[in-house]
Amino acid sequence: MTDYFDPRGNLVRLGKKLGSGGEGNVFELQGDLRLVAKIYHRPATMAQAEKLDAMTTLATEDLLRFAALPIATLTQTRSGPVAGIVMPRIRDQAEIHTLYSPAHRKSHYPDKDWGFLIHVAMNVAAVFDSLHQNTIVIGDVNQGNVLVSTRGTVTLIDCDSFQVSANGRIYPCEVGVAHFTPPELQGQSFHGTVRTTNHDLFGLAILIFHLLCMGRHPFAGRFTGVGEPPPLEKAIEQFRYAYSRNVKTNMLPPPQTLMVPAVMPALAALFERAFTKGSELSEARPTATEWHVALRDLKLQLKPCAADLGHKYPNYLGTCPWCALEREGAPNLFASVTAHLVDRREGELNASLDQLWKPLLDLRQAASDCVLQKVSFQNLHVTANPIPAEIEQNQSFALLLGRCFLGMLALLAASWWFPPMLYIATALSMGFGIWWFVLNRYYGLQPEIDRREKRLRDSIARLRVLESEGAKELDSIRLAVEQEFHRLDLTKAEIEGLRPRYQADLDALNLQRERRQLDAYLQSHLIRSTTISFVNDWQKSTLESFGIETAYDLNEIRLANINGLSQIARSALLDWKAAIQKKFKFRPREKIPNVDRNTILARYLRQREDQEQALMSGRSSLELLYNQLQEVRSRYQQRLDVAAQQAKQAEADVLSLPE
Amino acid sequence: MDQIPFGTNDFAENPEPRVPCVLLLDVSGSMGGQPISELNEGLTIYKDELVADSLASKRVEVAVVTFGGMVQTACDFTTADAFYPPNLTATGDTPMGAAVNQAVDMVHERKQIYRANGIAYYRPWIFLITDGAPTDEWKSAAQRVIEGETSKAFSFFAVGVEGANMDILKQLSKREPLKLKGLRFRDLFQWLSNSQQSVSRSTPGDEVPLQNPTTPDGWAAV
Repeated sequence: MTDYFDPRGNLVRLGKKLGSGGEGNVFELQGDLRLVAKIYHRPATMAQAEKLDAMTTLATEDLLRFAALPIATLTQTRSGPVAGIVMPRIRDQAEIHTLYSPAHRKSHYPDKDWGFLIHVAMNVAAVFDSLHQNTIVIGDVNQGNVLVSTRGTVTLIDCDSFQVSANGRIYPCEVGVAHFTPPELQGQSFHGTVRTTNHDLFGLAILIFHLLCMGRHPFAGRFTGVGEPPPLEKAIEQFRYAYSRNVKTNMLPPPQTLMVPAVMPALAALFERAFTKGSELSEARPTATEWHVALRDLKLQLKPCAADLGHKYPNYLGTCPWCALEREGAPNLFASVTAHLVDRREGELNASLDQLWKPLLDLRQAASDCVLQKVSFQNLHVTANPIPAEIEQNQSFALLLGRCFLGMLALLAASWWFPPMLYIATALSMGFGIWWFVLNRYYGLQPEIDRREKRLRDSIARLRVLESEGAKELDSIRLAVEQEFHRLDLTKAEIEGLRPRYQADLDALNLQRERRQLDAYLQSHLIRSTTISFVNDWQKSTLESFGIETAYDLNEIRLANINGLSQIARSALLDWKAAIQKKFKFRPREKIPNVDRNTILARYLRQREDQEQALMSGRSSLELLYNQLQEVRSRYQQRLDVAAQQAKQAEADVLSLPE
Repeated sequence: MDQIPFGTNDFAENPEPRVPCVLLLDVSGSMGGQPISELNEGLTIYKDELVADSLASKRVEVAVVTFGGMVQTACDFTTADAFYPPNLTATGDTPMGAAVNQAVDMVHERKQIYRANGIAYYRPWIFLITDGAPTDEWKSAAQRVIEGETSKAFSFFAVGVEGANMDILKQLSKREPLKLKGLRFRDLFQWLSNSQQSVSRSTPGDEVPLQNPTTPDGWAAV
């Protein structure tokens, strides 16, 4: 059973069975892991065998890179009918619908964004182009026979259905999937129909539309005509392209879909050419090359969205169309990309804040240390100002005058004995006395003493005022520092709270899933169909009349409201529920999918990023305040220094005065 | 407010054409014991089979309506990944007429939702499994089934388990009702899933040639 022969009569041994399909089973080939054998359920007819033989001549190295063309036919005996074929083995590739369907993409290709989808569309176009260059028509284009690798390369399978020309004959493709069949072929039998590249290009346009527009079908829309909406193949037949600029299609785009003409005008024009009336004419549809060029241009114009890591959109658009869809109520169609970008980054939620926080602490400390220095007179060196010469002169003159005055007083005393001298002595002593007094009082040393003492008092007072003013001004800035620091401390606490909050969200999600399963499980247990001791049918009817039908509905509060239910029946019911609940098994297969967890994580990481940004900007505002502090302090310090110098001088001046 | 289960139900995330299918299951008292547990087992297999097919898992939408004492929607339309087969228990009489009416209504409503959302769909299936005869008025329901079948609004399949009144089933369904051999619910659901997988690969509106279940090793007899 496992031995076959190739056309040259060589023995081909089959290995492990890899899979089975509608046409046949696929086996490993012993000794060559790059090839597989497909053994048909029923041997090929003569016509099929001829086509397969023709195809093996077309299988060039180049084409085999992206199309699993038959390389050789297999027979069970050396001259028997064709029982199967040898073809390239394709590994690690999945049907293209698992990529373009957002629901599957998030689990199968979680990291792939719109850029990747456009890239795959380019590759699909390239494959079509190569086959068309080699006069091969695919014919049966569909979501299942185009495979995609995680690197975005594309391979076609089920190639034995291709329409090929060889030996002057055309071997037609006799199958097709209606969703990918052009209007002009809808409703026709594929049997004997010769397919053209223009037909293939309809299928290509559908595949590209699927890839670019999140799995939507270009002909599935909201029908605005009269009566029942046409089924998909009728809509295709009637050229009802839902995204057309031409409104006469009576088909509108479904809600929450991309605005194709606005988002990608160049491609929209190609879609119009591929899907609207006139496209059925010979060579009317855009060629694979045209698609390739337009797609490459679109890809080159992509830019990332500022609001969501996972979104990419053309740079000629003002706003992100994916965010716009979300605002319309659609889910985030690239949530998994965003999620993937944060995968395994949970650790970042508890990353140490020390490096961010230390400079803030230092700044705060520095700010609180930033005070005015006490003025020290110790190191100030001053030379007392000498007493002005004029005053010295006046002083000695005043001394002379004082002596004169004393002399005159003596004369005045002597006038006792010589009365006539009394007048003169009185006048002279008064004269000298007044002169001396005036000179001494106003032009002598005393005013200088007064001046110097006042200067000393003033300078000390000024020092005090400066000190207190400076301290006040510094205090008010330091208060601002403290307030800012307090605010940042709250931010820090919030950051530190993100991890526990993230965990709580995860727990809640888990609980919700478990809860939902449990609820459904309890709801599936009907009271009526269970025998519960102490609860008779009549009581069951009573319960039902209160809307209590399943284990889910049972709880103490609800039971307490029911009259005529014995305590023993109540506890029997609750015991029954508890027993059922005990048997409930949480299906772990439904653990939180990565993408769900990561979507939450992405939210928290973004919060953390924002908060860290807040700390960072807090740092600069602290720095600003600190600079202000230093500036104020140095200003005051300078003024204090000047004032201290003056005070010291004044003191020296006072101390230097003669006793 | 109920949440939308995570998965492929959302039309934006999964705009694939839908194959709606209402399972109309008899859970009247007579199904108690082995039949109901085999039926439950069959439902689980059904889910697993659908989930394993990546295309069918996006296209086939199941709803479960049970009738036994009363008519209940045990599960509203959902794609296979979010379908949790309810654990059915058998009780009460057989209000089959009301159940059929409800299924027809559900199919009608579901189609409205598809249309509003621009989602293509295949002809819906209503799949009735019973082991008895209706205990309520069923003639009007039968009328609606015939009308629905004639206008191609849905396909109605009836399967009778041992004890079913096949004569009434014949009047209820335009197609020949099938008789389940023994309690081969697993085979039945395997077949159902396979059929829907092929339907989900066909074109909406097309008649899909289903694998004949009445072959000697099939699960059904006519």
